Amino acid sequence: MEAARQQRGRTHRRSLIRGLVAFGLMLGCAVPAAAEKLVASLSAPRVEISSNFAGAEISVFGVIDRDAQTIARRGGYQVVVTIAGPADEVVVRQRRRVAGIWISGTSQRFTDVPSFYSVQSSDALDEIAPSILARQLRLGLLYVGHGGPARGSLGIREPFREALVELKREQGLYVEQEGAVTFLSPNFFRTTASFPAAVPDGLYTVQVYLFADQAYLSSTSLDLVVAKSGFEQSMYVFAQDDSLLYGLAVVIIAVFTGWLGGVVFRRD
Amino acid sequence: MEIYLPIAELPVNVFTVFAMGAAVGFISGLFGVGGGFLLTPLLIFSGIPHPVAVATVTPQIVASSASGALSYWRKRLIDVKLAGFLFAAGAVGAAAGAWLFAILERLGQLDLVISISYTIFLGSIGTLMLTEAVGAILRARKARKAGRTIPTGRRSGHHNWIHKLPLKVRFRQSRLYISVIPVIVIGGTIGFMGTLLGIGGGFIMVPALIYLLRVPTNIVIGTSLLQILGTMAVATVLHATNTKTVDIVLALILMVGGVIGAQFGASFGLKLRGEHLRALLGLLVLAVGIRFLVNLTLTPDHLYTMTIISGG
Repeated sequence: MEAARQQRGRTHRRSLIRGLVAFGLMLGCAVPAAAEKLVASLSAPRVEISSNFAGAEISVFGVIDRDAQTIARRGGYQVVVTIAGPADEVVVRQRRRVAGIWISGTSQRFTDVPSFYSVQSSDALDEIAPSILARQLRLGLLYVGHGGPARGSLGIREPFREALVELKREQGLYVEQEGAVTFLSPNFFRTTASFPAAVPDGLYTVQVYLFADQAYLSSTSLDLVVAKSGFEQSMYVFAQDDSLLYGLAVVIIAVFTGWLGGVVFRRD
Repeated sequence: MEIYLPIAELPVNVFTVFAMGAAVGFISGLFGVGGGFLLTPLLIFSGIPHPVAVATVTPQIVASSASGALSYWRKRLIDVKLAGFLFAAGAVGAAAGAWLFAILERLGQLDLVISISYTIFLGSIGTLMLTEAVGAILRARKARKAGRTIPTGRRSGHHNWIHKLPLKVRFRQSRLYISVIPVIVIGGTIGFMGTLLGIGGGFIMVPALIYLLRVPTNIVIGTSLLQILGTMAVATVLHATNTKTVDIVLALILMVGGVIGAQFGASFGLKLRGEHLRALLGLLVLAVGIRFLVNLTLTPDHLYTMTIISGG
């Protein structure tokens, strides 16, 4: 369990890879006249998990910058905003019934599974981009959880992947909202993503993609930090780094509480 | 009022958790048991992850047994030497339990093993307690009808095969001269089960000491409490260093609730007859066991489970 929280800095590397993919797409796809520049910002760069944390909302704002040479887009602009949490390695197990009891049966391992993934778009995803592009950019929950050693054929693995997405979705950690991104003016958009109370901490990557007429124009990425603060953070670090001392401290507190209770409520 | 748990990494309602601690504290005061066997399942059924539930109940047991051990200490009703032997064996058992706990968590079978163990363990202990207590109630009723009192103290002079084992040691306070083998077996087993399942084991230790080792009844509870205090303190440290799933905030709320609840339970318990108390406790233990069995056999909401094994 504790291992899951370590090494979340690796998201950096993934966002780099994703940036390269985006760059490659910009070179490779037929978007010669992409003169739009995308500028985006977050309502807050940090989500603080404090003792009364019960979830949070972060808004993403963006402006599409056009210069004099920019050609008119007949169909207007479409925007997709993805927010990905630190990647985890996840094991999905299928339960089966043996002698009337449900036990864990076969399993599949998935690597590079985002602990949180939200995909918000201004329109239906399949109308914004062709599926090959959507797959490359990982736009949509359909494209999450394809990493890791395949055990058996794709057909065997797919139900496990779907179950993974479904479980994450129920925990509010995976979200796909078409139409969530709203345009306040033709060039100014906004969306609000909500994080559940059980959101994992770490470095998140917010990626904003701009499309017009089924073509990918531009993208920009922002960092978002989700971190425990104050007491929660110090306790967590204490438990992780000085676990022996932490354990002894818990025992001392327990003995003291018990002693105090015995003294306060002394009956003999 | 919601409060975020730093180790479990999820928010809980303070009053709900406090009420759970108090309710279990009440029951533990009522029956003179630690109540871990109730608290751990309660936490699990309320959505706290298995590893956090088991590991966090251990310091709660430390607090409640410290409270009880203190009052027996003042009355000099503890056999320190016997508790020491039980504790030494218990610490070894706890280490083995923590080791198996970490392996099972890695394999993803911890939930299953905990559920099955609770079903078998609580099911059989509960049945035994209930039969014994109902038998005692019936005997008492028959005796009352016949107009005579039944002798208390069960065949205390009778020796069984356990008393023929070698490696004998003298325990002065308990006025016993017995082999250390059963002492080590009892202490070790309870330390092992306690660490693995998040239970103190008082409800097994007390009858085992009385019926198997023939420790005097007035010495038993204090001695058992001292041994549980020691073993669970070791288990807390082991859980903190191995799986790092001891949640201090959750533990503290449970402790405060438990200590308060225990006081009310203890005074209420004085109004009930011994065999009625034992019958109720047996019913309770059995009910928790059945609850786990139902959980195991009922078709789950999801046919798949998900475990995060590492970051990156």
